[in-house]
Amino acid sequence: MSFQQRLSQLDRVQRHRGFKIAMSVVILVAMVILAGYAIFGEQPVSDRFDARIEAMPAEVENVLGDMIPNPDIERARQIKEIINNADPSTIILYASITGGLVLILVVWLNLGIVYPFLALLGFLIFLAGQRFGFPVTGGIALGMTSLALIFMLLMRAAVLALGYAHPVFTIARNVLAEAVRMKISMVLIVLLFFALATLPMVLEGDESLRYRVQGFLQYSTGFTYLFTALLVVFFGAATVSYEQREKVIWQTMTKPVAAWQYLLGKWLGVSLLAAILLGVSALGVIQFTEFLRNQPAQGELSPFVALDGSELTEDRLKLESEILAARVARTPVLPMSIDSELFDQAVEIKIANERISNPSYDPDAAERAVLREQVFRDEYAQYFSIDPRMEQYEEFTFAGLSEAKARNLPLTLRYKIDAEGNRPDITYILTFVFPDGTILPPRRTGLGFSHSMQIPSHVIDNQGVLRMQIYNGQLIADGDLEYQFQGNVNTFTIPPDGLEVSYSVGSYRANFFRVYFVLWVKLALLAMLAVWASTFASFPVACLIAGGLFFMGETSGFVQGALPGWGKTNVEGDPSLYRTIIYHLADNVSSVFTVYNELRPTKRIAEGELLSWGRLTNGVVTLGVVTLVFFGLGTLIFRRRQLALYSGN
Amino acid sequence: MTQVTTSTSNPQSAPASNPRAVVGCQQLSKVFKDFWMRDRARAVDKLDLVINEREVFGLLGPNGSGKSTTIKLILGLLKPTSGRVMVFGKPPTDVAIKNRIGYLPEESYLYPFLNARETLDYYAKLFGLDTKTRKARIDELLHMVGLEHAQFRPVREYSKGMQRRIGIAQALINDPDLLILDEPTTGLDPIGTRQVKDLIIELGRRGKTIILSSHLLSDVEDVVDRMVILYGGKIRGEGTCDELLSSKERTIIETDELDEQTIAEIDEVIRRRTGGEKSIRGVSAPRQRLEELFLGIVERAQQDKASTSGAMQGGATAAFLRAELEEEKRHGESLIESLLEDQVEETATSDIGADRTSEIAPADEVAAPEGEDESLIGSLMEESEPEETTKHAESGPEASRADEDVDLGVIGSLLDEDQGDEEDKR
Repeated sequence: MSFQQRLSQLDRVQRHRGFKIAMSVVILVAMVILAGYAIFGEQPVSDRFDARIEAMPAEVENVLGDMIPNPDIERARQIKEIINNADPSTIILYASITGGLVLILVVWLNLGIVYPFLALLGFLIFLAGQRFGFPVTGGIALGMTSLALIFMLLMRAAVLALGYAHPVFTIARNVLAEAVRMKISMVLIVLLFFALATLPMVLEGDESLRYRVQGFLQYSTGFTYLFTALLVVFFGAATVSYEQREKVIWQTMTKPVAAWQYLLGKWLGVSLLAAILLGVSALGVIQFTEFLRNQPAQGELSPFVALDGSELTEDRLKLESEILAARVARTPVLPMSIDSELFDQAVEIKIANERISNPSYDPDAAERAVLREQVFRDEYAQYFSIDPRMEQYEEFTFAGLSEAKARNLPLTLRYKIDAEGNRPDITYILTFVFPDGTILPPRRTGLGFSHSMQIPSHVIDNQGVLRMQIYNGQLIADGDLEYQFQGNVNTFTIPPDGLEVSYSVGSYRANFFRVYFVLWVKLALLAMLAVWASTFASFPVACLIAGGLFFMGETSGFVQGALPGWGKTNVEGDPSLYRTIIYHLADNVSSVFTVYNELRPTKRIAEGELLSWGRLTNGVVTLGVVTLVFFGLGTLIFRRRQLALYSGN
Repeated sequence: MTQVTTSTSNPQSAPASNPRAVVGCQQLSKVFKDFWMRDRARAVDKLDLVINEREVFGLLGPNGSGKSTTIKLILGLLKPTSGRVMVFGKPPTDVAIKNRIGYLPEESYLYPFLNARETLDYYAKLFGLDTKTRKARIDELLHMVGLEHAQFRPVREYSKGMQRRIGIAQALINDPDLLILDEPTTGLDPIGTRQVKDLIIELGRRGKTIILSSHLLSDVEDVVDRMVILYGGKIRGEGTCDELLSSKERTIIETDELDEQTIAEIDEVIRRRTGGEKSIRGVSAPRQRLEELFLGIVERAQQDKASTSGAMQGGATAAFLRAELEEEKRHGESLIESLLEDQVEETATSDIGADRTSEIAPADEVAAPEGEDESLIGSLMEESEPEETTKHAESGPEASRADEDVDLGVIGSLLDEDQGDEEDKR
């Protein structure tokens, strides 16, 4: 019997209904046994915290003599939660249920033999790598095998789901077949898998665990997004424009296929491919994040066990509460509004001052608006700069923290300061003071990068507002409730993204999938742009148009941030038409992408920031409407096209 | 065998049928423009054309004469610069009419990454055919075009002829009422060419309307009922094969081999009966055609089971290709019966097309009673009203008039009417 015949015999076996039923029963039994062990096995380690929390006093007295909820309870609860997440019995329970369901799906997608065979092959290469001195290659092989297996499974599921005999589904299914059988897309897919499998190997082991996890999350997600976006642009444009160039479209469009069905089918195929690749990446990233999470953090003997006998190390606590979390973040509320009358007065004063040297100075409305903005920017910069001699401190207000207050959730303060050109050899000491008298220990702070620390939730008032004074220096106790201020050398400034408080509202996993969904919605819009552009342009032009729009969307946040620094005058100080046009063009174009930009999915994953349902819905609806508009435009153009003429020829 | 040529002819009489028009073009023009919108080429120039149902219609012409452009205008792949096209009473942009059309482009444009079975499955699904029907049709078509053994190979590995065969199969997957074949025999070997010609004849016999474009005159001659000859986008000749090709000046008599004396006696008889005006002009022993020789050799090789990776000899025409249109069953049955009767009487395959031509050809130039044009065009524009058509059909067999101007006037008015209806609907 030839090898080919043996393969087809094996294929027949894995397609046989009896085989599928038998395998499903075996998997189900294994699932029940494992889940039973997890539920009725050993008592979770975290239960010991319950007794400790019970023993703690519910309230304690603060420095002003008021009774406040005991911050130690909050902390103990938080640690319990963290340790509970890492409890082996919980992991076994979730792994057995999800693993079992996936395996049953594998069996029923006719992959019951191929799949375990490939998995075994990857694992053997990995073992051989460990044994014979090529662990990195072995690790990459294992990673790529596991990504390829997920890809295979999702592709098979998608192809089956598109089996219905309708033009839209048929065309979409053909796009998927094209994706895995044509070089243009397959090369990118293999490269993506290679990069994802290689990334964990290049993360440095001596960094703190939280930075390794954060780095991995940021790079893997960012890389996946960028690569899939490239694939979507190239493949989306190719699948429509090449069909016109190669005239294959003649045979499709002389069948009962409406223009909208053709474009929708193409879009669906490309979007599904993007969804599959994101799905592969998401599952791969989660898998490896969990692997990293179960490595010892800095100062740990083994995972979740601190060397010094304390409950949790700093590294572990930050990893669990700031990165592998879904945090709600709040930035300071500005004490001034640009619409305030105070700014009108300030503008008038500025004009009056200018008239002293230039009596004919009479700015028009546009110039006044510019002046007003300038005044506002000066005031804003002033507010976020703290001078150690004159003002010593600044008070910042954060609103919308009722949930943290109500649920006694500890807050995380993230801050960053710039001073003295951010020299790496200088540190500043900062002191944080709260209205109830709480003074956190002075923090020695490096310049130009982010720091974080925990704040107890009792400092939030009953309206959910947190007021916090930041001192540019330290307060040294000098008798009862008397403090002496000792300032740093210079003024420091808090950059625009340099101050926020946040609290964790759930697991990073739920947030993770929300973020990936947003990434997909963005890519689906990009796919529509590529398809739309291909209805009237040849492949290279369509790629340029879709890629250009994508670039504009992705950089709009940066442009909006950078615009205030763009002067509309030339070096001599005279108004420059050219610079003004650039300013307004950039401002208008980038503001079109505001919703797109504010979703910031990759940043959210890396920083464990919750993507709220409200923002998610707003983003999805907005991007969905834009996608629909381009679909409508594409259909209109495509209906008017003479398909026997190709503009690329 | 001896062939004797004399100087008289015996034209066959053609009983006229009452077919409905499937495709109508009125003053159709297509001008290709350059980047600056200047006229670059006038591919089709004020073309007036009516193609009837159950007609195998030939579009002849040298390269660049406008054949493919006309077909693309009929299919909606190009938009006319001026004039109108109607297919099944609707403009070509109407998606619904595509359900009834099969199209084979002048070259096979296929997805290189699909195999033959997947290719046919893809096109079948575009018609919304269910799994069972798709499987049955694909099996039949693969057998018909002789690609069963290569069905799982990607079509990019196929030879040009094999790609052509799969192209033909995809054009038939929906069992079309109107089959448009643009240069169907390009790239095919003589066996494939013979099979395609047989297929066209067979489909024509089953009541399909076929538009065949070609510059290979022998292909067209063997199969079409009626044809136009295009040059520079204009019709330069139109009619049935017999009308265009028959010579009324001569008669051919074919017998078993004769000796010289017998031939001399026959010549004597002819001279005697015509008073010396007519005589035998030439006597020859017919040569075997190269096509027949080639087919014979290949057939023997196949009997010897010689191996090939190319296309096999195709099977019988797929059974699912319906013999008649549902709504015209009665009419179709009688037509096919009469055609089958004719075919039984025939022995030479190559003569089937020509013979059939004379039976159903609704030639414009054959004398026709009044009302025929209205019936034709009316059916084109009122496709959805079969009762109306039946009335026309019951009015009896009538031949069309030769007066083209009158005919076009009627087309124009009806196209206007229809256009008005379309606009009303919108």
